[in-house]
Amino acid sequence: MPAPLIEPVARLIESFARLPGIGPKTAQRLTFHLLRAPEVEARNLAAALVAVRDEVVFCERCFNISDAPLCSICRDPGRDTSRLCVVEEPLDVLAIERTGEFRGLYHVLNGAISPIDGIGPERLRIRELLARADEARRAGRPFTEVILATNPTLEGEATAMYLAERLEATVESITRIARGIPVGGDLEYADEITLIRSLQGRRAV
Amino acid sequence: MPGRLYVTDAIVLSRFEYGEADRVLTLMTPGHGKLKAIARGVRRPTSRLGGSLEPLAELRVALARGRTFDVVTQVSVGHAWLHLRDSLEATATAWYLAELADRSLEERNAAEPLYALLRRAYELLDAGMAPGRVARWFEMRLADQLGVRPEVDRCVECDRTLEAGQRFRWVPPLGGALCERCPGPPHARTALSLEALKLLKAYQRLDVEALAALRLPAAVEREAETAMRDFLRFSLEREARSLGFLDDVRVGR
Ligand SMILES: [Zn+2]
Ligand SMILES: [Zn+2]
Repeated sequence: MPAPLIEPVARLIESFARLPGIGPKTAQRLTFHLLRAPEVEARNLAAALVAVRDEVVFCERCFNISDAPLCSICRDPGRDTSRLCVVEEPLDVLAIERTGEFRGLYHVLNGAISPIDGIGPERLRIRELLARADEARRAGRPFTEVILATNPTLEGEATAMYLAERLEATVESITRIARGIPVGGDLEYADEITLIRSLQGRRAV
Repeated sequence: MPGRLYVTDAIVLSRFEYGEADRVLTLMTPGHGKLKAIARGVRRPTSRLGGSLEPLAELRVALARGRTFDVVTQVSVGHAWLHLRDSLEATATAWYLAELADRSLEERNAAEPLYALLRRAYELLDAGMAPGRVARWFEMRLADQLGVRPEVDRCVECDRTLEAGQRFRWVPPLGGALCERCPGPPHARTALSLEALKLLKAYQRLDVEALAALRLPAAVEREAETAMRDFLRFSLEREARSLGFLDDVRVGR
Protein backbone atom coordinates (compact mmCIF):
# COMPACT_ATOMS: atom_id res chain seq x y z
CA MET A 1 0.00 0.00 0.00
CA PRO A 2 1.35 3.46 -0.87
CA ALA A 3 2.24 5.77 2.01
CA PRO A 4 -0.60 8.18 2.80
CA LEU A 5 -0.12 11.71 1.50
CA ILE A 6 0.50 14.47 3.98
CA GLU A 7 -2.52 16.66 4.45
CA PRO A 8 -1.61 19.86 2.47
CA VAL A 9 -0.62 17.74 -0.54
CA ALA A 10 -3.79 15.69 -0.40
CA ARG A 11 -5.84 18.87 -0.09
CA LEU A 12 -4.30 20.46 -3.19
CA ILE A 13 -4.75 17.29 -5.25
CA GLU A 14 -8.37 17.19 -4.21
CA SER A 15 -8.87 20.86 -5.12
CA PHE A 16 -7.38 20.38 -8.57
CA ALA A 17 -9.41 17.24 -9.16
CA ARG A 18 -12.62 19.20 -8.64
CA LEU A 19 -11.87 21.42 -11.65
CA PRO A 20 -13.52 20.59 -14.97
CA GLY A 21 -11.30 18.64 -17.33
CA ILE A 22 -8.92 17.48 -14.60
CA GLY A 23 -8.90 13.88 -13.48
CA PRO A 24 -7.16 12.49 -10.39
CA LYS A 25 -3.94 11.70 -12.30
CA THR A 26 -3.62 15.19 -13.72
CA ALA A 27 -4.38 16.63 -10.28
CA GLN A 28 -1.47 14.68 -8.82
CA ARG A 29 0.86 15.73 -11.62
CA LEU A 30 -0.02 19.42 -11.15
CA THR A 31 0.46 19.20 -7.41
CA PHE A 32 3.88 17.59 -7.62
CA HIS A 33 4.90 20.01 -10.35
CA LEU A 34 4.16 22.91 -7.99
CA LEU A 35 6.10 21.25 -5.18
CA ARG A 36 9.21 21.04 -7.33
CA ALA A 37 8.81 24.40 -9.12
CA PRO A 38 10.44 27.63 -7.87
CA GLU A 39 8.51 29.12 -5.00
CA VAL A 40 7.55 32.22 -7.00
CA GLU A 41 5.59 30.09 -9.46
CA ALA A 42 3.32 28.75 -6.74
CA ARG A 43 2.93 32.19 -5.17
CA ASN A 44 1.98 33.74 -8.54
CA LEU A 45 -0.62 31.05 -9.10
CA ALA A 46 -2.08 31.58 -5.65
CA ALA A 47 -2.21 35.36 -6.17
CA ALA A 48 -3.87 34.94 -9.57
CA LEU A 49 -6.51 32.67 -8.05
CA VAL A 50 -7.33 35.19 -5.35
CA ALA A 51 -7.36 38.09 -7.83
CA VAL A 52 -9.75 36.33 -10.19
CA ARG A 53 -12.25 36.03 -7.36
CA ASP A 54 -11.65 39.49 -5.89
CA GLU A 55 -11.34 41.59 -9.01
CA VAL A 56 -13.53 39.92 -11.59
CA VAL A 57 -17.24 40.64 -11.47
CA PHE A 58 -20.14 40.07 -13.81
CA CYS A 59 -21.17 42.98 -16.01
CA GLU A 60 -24.41 44.33 -14.61
CA ARG A 61 -25.90 44.80 -18.08
CA CYS A 62 -24.82 41.75 -20.09
CA PHE A 63 -23.48 39.40 -17.36
CA ASN A 64 -20.22 38.83 -19.20
CA ILE A 65 -17.14 38.68 -16.98
CA SER A 66 -15.76 42.13 -16.29
CA ASP A 67 -13.33 44.15 -14.18
CA ALA A 68 -15.83 46.99 -13.73
CA PRO A 69 -19.60 47.30 -13.23
CA LEU A 70 -19.94 47.49 -17.04
CA CYS A 71 -17.76 45.21 -19.18
CA SER A 72 -15.42 46.49 -21.88
CA ILE A 73 -17.91 45.60 -24.64
CA CYS A 74 -20.84 47.40 -23.00
CA ARG A 75 -18.55 50.42 -22.40
CA ASP A 76 -17.22 50.55 -25.98
CA PRO A 77 -18.92 53.47 -27.83
CA GLY A 78 -18.00 51.88 -31.17
CA ARG A 79 -20.35 48.90 -30.73
CA ASP A 80 -23.63 48.63 -32.63
CA THR A 81 -26.17 48.93 -29.81
CA SER A 82 -29.09 47.90 -32.03
CA ARG A 83 -27.96 44.27 -32.25
CA LEU A 84 -27.82 41.81 -29.41
CA CYS A 85 -26.30 38.35 -29.37
CA VAL A 86 -27.58 35.98 -26.67
CA VAL A 87 -25.17 33.25 -25.54
CA GLU A 88 -25.03 30.66 -22.75
CA GLU A 89 -21.57 31.35 -21.27
CA PRO A 90 -18.85 34.05 -21.13
CA LEU A 91 -16.62 31.66 -23.10
CA ASP A 92 -19.10 31.90 -25.98
CA VAL A 93 -18.61 35.68 -26.03
CA LEU A 94 -14.87 35.11 -26.36
CA ALA A 95 -15.42 32.64 -29.20
CA ILE A 96 -17.64 35.05 -31.15
CA GLU A 97 -15.38 38.03 -30.43
CA ARG A 98 -12.43 36.13 -31.89
CA THR A 99 -14.22 35.97 -35.23
CA GLY A 100 -14.49 39.76 -35.48
CA GLU A 101 -17.79 39.22 -37.37
CA PHE A 102 -20.12 40.70 -34.80
CA ARG A 103 -20.00 44.31 -33.60
CA GLY A 104 -23.14 44.42 -31.48
CA LEU A 105 -23.71 43.75 -27.79
CA TYR A 106 -24.12 40.52 -25.84
CA HIS A 107 -26.29 38.98 -23.20
CA VAL A 108 -24.90 36.02 -21.25
CA LEU A 109 -27.61 33.72 -19.89
CA ASN A 110 -25.35 31.75 -17.59
CA GLY A 111 -26.52 28.38 -18.91
CA ALA A 112 -29.43 26.84 -20.78
CA ILE A 113 -32.84 25.58 -19.72
CA SER A 114 -32.69 21.98 -18.49
CA PRO A 115 -35.83 21.22 -16.47
CA ILE A 116 -34.81 17.64 -15.70
CA ASP A 117 -31.79 19.11 -13.85
CA GLY A 118 -33.96 21.66 -12.12
CA ILE A 119 -32.76 24.54 -14.32
CA GLY A 120 -35.76 26.58 -15.40
CA PRO A 121 -35.81 30.08 -16.94
CA GLU A 122 -35.76 31.65 -13.46
CA ARG A 123 -32.27 30.23 -12.85
CA LEU A 124 -30.87 32.03 -15.91
CA ARG A 125 -30.48 35.72 -16.77
CA ILE A 126 -33.69 35.62 -18.80
CA ARG A 127 -35.72 38.08 -16.78
CA GLU A 128 -32.88 40.60 -17.19
CA LEU A 129 -32.80 39.96 -20.95
CA LEU A 130 -36.53 40.57 -21.33
CA ALA A 131 -36.26 43.72 -19.22
CA ARG A 132 -33.36 44.91 -21.34
CA ALA A 133 -35.30 44.40 -24.58
CA ASP A 134 -38.36 46.08 -23.11
CA GLU A 135 -36.37 49.04 -21.86
CA ALA A 136 -34.80 49.54 -25.29
CA ARG A 137 -38.24 49.48 -26.90
CA ARG A 138 -39.67 51.99 -24.42
CA ALA A 139 -36.72 54.27 -25.07
CA GLY A 140 -37.70 54.23 -28.75
CA ARG A 141 -34.58 52.29 -29.75
CA PRO A 142 -35.74 48.67 -29.90
CA PHE A 143 -33.16 46.05 -30.86
CA THR A 144 -33.31 45.61 -34.62
CA GLU A 145 -31.96 42.08 -34.27
CA VAL A 146 -31.56 39.62 -31.44
CA ILE A 147 -29.35 36.69 -32.42
CA LEU A 148 -30.03 33.56 -30.39
CA ALA A 149 -26.62 31.90 -30.24
CA THR A 150 -27.31 29.22 -27.63
CA ASN A 151 -25.77 25.80 -28.30
CA PRO A 152 -27.41 23.48 -30.85
CA THR A 153 -28.26 21.00 -28.10
CA LEU A 154 -31.75 20.10 -26.91
CA GLU A 155 -31.30 22.53 -24.00
CA GLY A 156 -29.94 25.30 -26.20
CA GLU A 157 -32.72 24.86 -28.76
CA ALA A 158 -35.43 24.88 -26.10
CA THR A 159 -33.90 28.02 -24.57
CA ALA A 160 -33.88 29.70 -27.99
CA MET A 161 -37.53 28.75 -28.62
CA TYR A 162 -38.54 30.03 -25.21
CA LEU A 163 -36.71 33.33 -25.76
CA ALA A 164 -38.13 33.74 -29.27
CA GLU A 165 -41.66 33.52 -27.82
CA ARG A 166 -40.97 35.95 -25.00
CA LEU A 167 -39.05 38.50 -27.09
CA GLU A 168 -41.44 38.60 -30.02
CA ALA A 169 -43.32 41.72 -28.95
CA THR A 170 -40.31 43.81 -27.92
CA VAL A 171 -37.70 43.43 -30.67
CA GLU A 172 -37.80 43.94 -34.44
CA SER A 173 -36.31 40.63 -35.53
CA ILE A 174 -35.11 37.45 -33.91
CA THR A 175 -32.60 35.16 -35.61
CA ARG A 176 -31.06 31.82 -34.72
CA ILE A 177 -27.50 30.80 -35.60
CA ALA A 178 -27.36 28.15 -38.34
CA ARG A 179 -26.98 24.48 -37.48
CA GLY A 180 -25.20 22.07 -39.71
CA ILE A 181 -22.09 20.36 -40.91
CA PRO A 182 -18.87 21.78 -39.43
CA VAL A 183 -16.53 23.37 -41.97
CA GLY A 184 -13.84 20.85 -42.83
CA GLY A 185 -16.17 18.07 -41.72
CA ASP A 186 -17.24 15.15 -43.87
CA LEU A 187 -20.91 14.49 -44.73
CA GLU A 188 -20.27 10.78 -44.55
CA TYR A 189 -19.36 11.05 -40.88
CA ALA A 190 -22.07 13.50 -39.82
CA ASP A 191 -24.73 12.13 -37.50
CA GLU A 192 -28.30 11.88 -38.82
CA ILE A 193 -29.78 14.66 -36.69
CA THR A 194 -27.14 17.12 -37.81
CA LEU A 195 -27.69 16.09 -41.44
CA ILE A 196 -31.46 16.54 -41.19
CA ARG A 197 -31.04 19.94 -39.55
CA SER A 198 -28.54 20.96 -42.25
CA LEU A 199 -31.02 20.03 -44.96
CA GLN A 200 -33.81 21.91 -43.18
CA GLY A 201 -31.54 24.95 -42.91
CA ARG A 202 -30.36 24.86 -46.53
CA ARG A 203 -30.43 28.05 -48.57
CA ALA A 204 -30.29 29.18 -52.16
CA VAL A 205 -26.83 29.88 -53.58
CA MET B 1 -8.25 -2.24 -21.94
CA PRO B 2 -11.76 -2.10 -23.42
CA GLY B 3 -14.34 -4.22 -21.63
CA ARG B 4 -16.94 -6.50 -23.14
CA LEU B 5 -18.97 -4.90 -25.94
CA TYR B 6 -22.72 -4.90 -26.19
CA VAL B 7 -25.34 -3.19 -28.35
CA THR B 8 -28.68 -1.86 -27.19
CA ASP B 9 -31.52 0.51 -28.07
CA ALA B 10 -31.50 3.50 -25.77
CA ILE B 11 -33.11 6.84 -25.05
CA VAL B 12 -30.95 9.52 -23.41
CA LEU B 13 -32.81 10.70 -20.30
CA SER B 14 -30.31 13.27 -19.10
CA ARG B 15 -26.63 14.08 -19.32
CA PHE B 16 -23.97 16.24 -17.79
CA GLU B 17 -20.68 17.60 -19.02
CA TYR B 18 -17.60 15.82 -17.85
CA GLY B 19 -13.97 16.71 -18.29
CA GLU B 20 -12.87 18.78 -21.25
CA ALA B 21 -15.14 17.49 -23.99
CA ASP B 22 -16.95 14.43 -22.61
CA ARG B 23 -20.51 13.86 -21.47
CA VAL B 24 -21.89 11.39 -19.00
CA LEU B 25 -25.28 10.13 -20.17
CA THR B 26 -28.11 8.52 -18.27
CA LEU B 27 -29.48 6.03 -20.77
CA MET B 28 -32.75 4.19 -20.58
CA THR B 29 -32.62 0.81 -22.26
CA PRO B 30 -35.14 -2.03 -22.55
CA GLY B 31 -32.81 -4.81 -21.40
CA HIS B 32 -30.55 -3.08 -18.87
CA GLY B 33 -32.91 -0.46 -17.47
CA LYS B 34 -31.14 2.72 -16.55
CA LEU B 35 -27.40 2.98 -16.98
CA LYS B 36 -24.70 5.64 -16.99
CA ALA B 37 -22.32 5.79 -19.92
CA ILE B 38 -19.56 8.14 -20.93
CA ALA B 39 -19.27 9.57 -24.42
CA ARG B 40 -15.77 10.84 -24.97
CA GLY B 41 -15.07 13.96 -26.98
CA VAL B 42 -18.71 14.55 -27.92
CA ARG B 43 -18.67 18.26 -27.18
CA ARG B 44 -16.18 18.92 -29.97
CA PRO B 45 -17.93 20.03 -33.17
CA THR B 46 -16.08 17.40 -35.17
CA SER B 47 -17.15 14.52 -32.95
CA ARG B 48 -18.76 11.68 -34.85
CA LEU B 49 -20.97 10.85 -31.89
CA GLY B 50 -22.01 14.41 -30.99
CA GLY B 51 -25.36 15.26 -32.54
CA SER B 52 -26.77 11.77 -32.10
CA LEU B 53 -26.40 11.51 -28.36
CA GLU B 54 -29.13 13.98 -27.58
CA PRO B 55 -32.22 13.28 -25.49
CA LEU B 56 -35.56 12.78 -27.27
CA ALA B 57 -34.31 10.26 -29.79
CA GLU B 58 -34.21 6.49 -29.94
CA LEU B 59 -30.66 5.39 -30.51
CA ARG B 60 -28.81 2.22 -31.27
CA VAL B 61 -25.73 2.35 -29.07
CA ALA B 62 -22.64 0.15 -28.86
CA LEU B 63 -21.09 0.20 -25.39
CA ALA B 64 -17.98 -1.23 -23.80
CA ARG B 65 -18.25 -2.19 -20.17
CA GLY B 66 -16.17 0.09 -18.00
CA ARG B 67 -15.32 0.33 -14.34
CA THR B 68 -17.32 3.43 -13.41
CA PHE B 69 -19.21 4.11 -16.62
CA ASP B 70 -19.71 2.07 -19.72
CA VAL B 71 -18.14 3.73 -22.74
CA VAL B 72 -20.08 4.65 -25.88
CA THR B 73 -18.17 3.35 -28.88
CA GLN B 74 -20.75 3.79 -31.66
CA VAL B 75 -24.17 5.26 -32.09
CA SER B 76 -26.80 5.58 -34.79
CA VAL B 77 -30.19 7.24 -34.64
CA GLY B 78 -33.27 5.03 -34.91
CA HIS B 79 -35.95 7.71 -34.46
CA ALA B 80 -35.15 11.36 -34.03
CA TRP B 81 -38.69 12.72 -33.32
CA LEU B 82 -37.72 16.10 -34.68
CA HIS B 83 -41.29 17.47 -34.86
CA LEU B 84 -41.48 17.01 -31.11
CA ARG B 85 -38.43 19.25 -30.67
CA ASP B 86 -39.98 21.98 -32.80
CA SER B 87 -42.73 22.54 -30.23
CA LEU B 88 -41.77 23.98 -26.88
CA GLU B 89 -44.76 22.50 -25.06
CA ALA B 90 -44.11 19.05 -26.54
CA THR B 91 -40.42 19.32 -25.60
CA ALA B 92 -41.25 20.40 -22.05
CA THR B 93 -43.71 17.51 -21.76
CA ALA B 94 -41.12 15.05 -23.09
CA TRP B 95 -38.68 16.27 -20.43
CA TYR B 96 -41.30 15.76 -17.75
CA LEU B 97 -41.99 12.20 -18.96
CA ALA B 98 -38.26 11.47 -19.05
CA GLU B 99 -38.01 12.62 -15.44
CA LEU B 100 -40.91 10.39 -14.39
CA ALA B 101 -39.29 7.44 -16.19
CA ASP B 102 -35.94 8.22 -14.59
CA ARG B 103 -37.52 8.28 -11.12
CA SER B 104 -39.31 4.99 -11.71
CA LEU B 105 -36.34 3.06 -13.02
CA GLU B 106 -33.68 1.14 -11.26
CA GLU B 107 -30.14 0.88 -12.53
CA ARG B 108 -29.33 -2.25 -14.48
CA ASN B 109 -32.80 -3.74 -14.10
CA ALA B 110 -34.62 -4.69 -17.29
CA ALA B 111 -37.42 -2.27 -18.08
CA GLU B 112 -39.05 -3.28 -21.36
CA PRO B 113 -42.59 -2.06 -20.55
CA LEU B 114 -41.47 1.35 -19.33
CA TYR B 115 -39.11 1.74 -22.26
CA ALA B 116 -41.93 0.92 -24.67
CA LEU B 117 -44.22 3.36 -22.85
CA LEU B 118 -41.79 6.28 -23.08
CA ARG B 119 -40.99 5.50 -26.69
CA ARG B 120 -44.69 5.45 -27.58
CA ALA B 121 -45.31 8.72 -25.72
CA TYR B 122 -42.54 10.39 -27.74
CA GLU B 123 -44.03 9.01 -30.95
CA LEU B 124 -47.41 10.49 -30.02
CA LEU B 125 -45.91 13.87 -29.15
CA ASP B 126 -43.99 13.80 -32.41
CA ALA B 127 -47.21 13.01 -34.31
CA GLY B 128 -48.80 16.12 -32.81
CA MET B 129 -51.15 14.67 -30.18
CA ALA B 130 -52.02 17.27 -27.51
CA PRO B 131 -49.13 17.15 -25.00
CA GLY B 132 -51.52 17.20 -22.02
CA ARG B 133 -53.35 14.12 -23.28
CA VAL B 134 -50.07 12.27 -23.90
CA ALA B 135 -48.89 13.18 -20.40
CA ARG B 136 -52.09 11.92 -18.70
CA TRP B 137 -52.05 8.73 -20.77
CA PHE B 138 -48.40 8.18 -19.81
CA GLU B 139 -49.00 8.95 -16.12
CA MET B 140 -51.91 6.51 -15.92
CA ARG B 141 -49.93 3.70 -17.56
CA LEU B 142 -46.88 4.47 -15.47
CA ALA B 143 -49.02 4.18 -12.31
CA ASP B 144 -50.17 0.78 -13.61
CA GLN B 145 -46.61 -0.34 -14.16
CA LEU B 146 -45.63 0.84 -10.69
CA GLY B 147 -48.47 -1.26 -9.32
CA VAL B 148 -50.45 1.70 -7.99
CA ARG B 149 -53.33 1.91 -10.47
CA PRO B 150 -55.60 4.72 -9.23
CA GLU B 151 -59.04 3.54 -8.07
CA VAL B 152 -61.70 5.42 -10.04
CA ASP B 153 -64.60 2.94 -9.99
CA ARG B 154 -65.15 2.22 -6.32
CA CYS B 155 -64.71 4.17 -3.13
CA VAL B 156 -61.23 3.48 -1.76
CA GLU B 157 -62.64 3.20 1.77
CA CYS B 158 -66.05 1.47 1.63
CA ASP B 159 -65.74 -0.19 -1.79
CA ARG B 160 -69.16 1.07 -2.96
CA THR B 161 -69.44 1.81 -6.66
CA LEU B 162 -68.98 5.51 -7.35
CA GLU B 163 -72.18 6.73 -8.98
CA ALA B 164 -73.42 9.86 -10.69
CA GLY B 165 -75.21 12.24 -8.36
CA GLN B 166 -72.68 11.79 -5.59
CA ARG B 167 -69.81 13.99 -4.59
CA PHE B 168 -66.29 12.63 -4.70
CA ARG B 169 -62.95 13.49 -3.26
CA TRP B 170 -59.53 12.62 -4.61
CA VAL B 171 -57.22 11.14 -1.99
CA PRO B 172 -53.88 9.94 -3.45
CA PRO B 173 -52.60 8.51 -0.14
CA LEU B 174 -55.62 6.16 -0.12
CA GLY B 175 -55.11 5.27 -3.79
CA GLY B 176 -57.92 7.10 -5.56
CA ALA B 177 -61.46 8.43 -5.20
CA LEU B 178 -63.52 8.55 -2.03
CA CYS B 179 -67.33 8.61 -1.82
CA GLU B 180 -69.28 11.27 0.07
CA ARG B 181 -70.25 8.90 2.86
CA CYS B 182 -66.72 8.08 3.93
CA PRO B 183 -64.83 10.56 6.11
CA GLY B 184 -61.30 9.88 4.76
CA PRO B 185 -58.25 11.58 6.24
CA PRO B 186 -59.03 14.91 7.98
CA HIS B 187 -57.18 17.14 5.52
CA ALA B 188 -58.20 15.47 2.27
CA ARG B 189 -60.62 17.98 0.82
CA THR B 190 -59.84 17.90 -2.88
CA ALA B 191 -63.20 17.60 -4.63
CA LEU B 192 -63.35 15.72 -7.89
CA SER B 193 -66.16 16.41 -10.37
CA LEU B 194 -68.07 13.60 -12.04
CA GLU B 195 -66.69 14.72 -15.42
CA ALA B 196 -63.10 14.55 -14.19
CA LEU B 197 -63.75 11.12 -12.66
CA LYS B 198 -65.10 9.97 -16.02
CA LEU B 199 -62.05 11.34 -17.77
CA LEU B 200 -59.74 9.46 -15.41
CA LYS B 201 -61.70 6.29 -16.21
CA ALA B 202 -61.29 7.05 -19.90
CA TYR B 203 -57.52 7.29 -19.44
CA GLN B 204 -57.60 3.81 -17.94
CA ARG B 205 -59.84 2.27 -20.57
CA LEU B 206 -59.53 3.98 -23.92
CA ASP B 207 -56.72 3.56 -26.41
CA VAL B 208 -54.72 6.60 -27.50
CA GLU B 209 -56.66 7.13 -30.73
CA ALA B 210 -59.92 7.44 -28.79
CA LEU B 211 -58.26 9.67 -26.18
CA ALA B 212 -56.84 11.94 -28.84
CA ALA B 213 -60.32 12.41 -30.30
CA LEU B 214 -62.08 13.37 -27.04
CA ARG B 215 -63.62 16.85 -26.89
CA LEU B 216 -63.55 18.20 -23.35
CA PRO B 217 -63.90 21.48 -21.49
CA ALA B 218 -60.49 22.82 -20.45
CA ALA B 219 -61.58 22.88 -16.80
CA VAL B 220 -62.16 19.11 -16.76
CA GLU B 221 -58.76 18.45 -18.33
CA ARG B 222 -57.22 20.70 -15.69
CA GLU B 223 -58.90 18.74 -12.93
CA ALA B 224 -57.66 15.42 -14.30
CA GLU B 225 -54.20 16.93 -14.64
CA THR B 226 -54.10 18.08 -11.02
CA ALA B 227 -55.45 14.72 -9.86
CA MET B 228 -52.81 12.71 -11.73
CA ARG B 229 -49.97 15.04 -10.74
CA ASP B 230 -50.98 14.78 -7.10
CA PHE B 231 -51.26 11.03 -7.43
CA LEU B 232 -47.78 10.64 -8.95
CA ARG B 233 -46.23 13.12 -6.54
CA PHE B 234 -47.49 10.91 -3.77
CA SER B 235 -46.43 7.64 -5.46
CA LEU B 236 -42.94 8.85 -6.39
CA GLU B 237 -42.61 10.79 -3.12
CA ARG B 238 -41.52 14.01 -4.80
CA GLU B 239 -42.78 16.64 -7.21
CA ALA B 240 -41.18 16.38 -10.65
CA ARG B 241 -38.71 19.23 -11.10
CA SER B 242 -39.56 19.69 -14.76
CA LEU B 243 -43.19 20.61 -14.08
CA GLY B 244 -42.30 24.22 -13.33
CA PHE B 245 -40.98 24.76 -16.83
CA LEU B 246 -43.91 22.96 -18.44
CA ASP B 247 -46.35 25.24 -16.61
CA ASP B 248 -44.26 28.29 -17.47
CA VAL B 249 -44.34 27.38 -21.18
CA ARG B 250 -48.11 26.96 -21.14
CA VAL B 251 -48.77 30.23 -19.31
CA GLY B 252 -46.82 32.04 -22.02
CA ARG B 253 -49.41 31.31 -24.71
ZN1 LIG C 1 -21.46 43.98 -20.52
ZN1 LIG D 1 -67.02 5.27 0.69
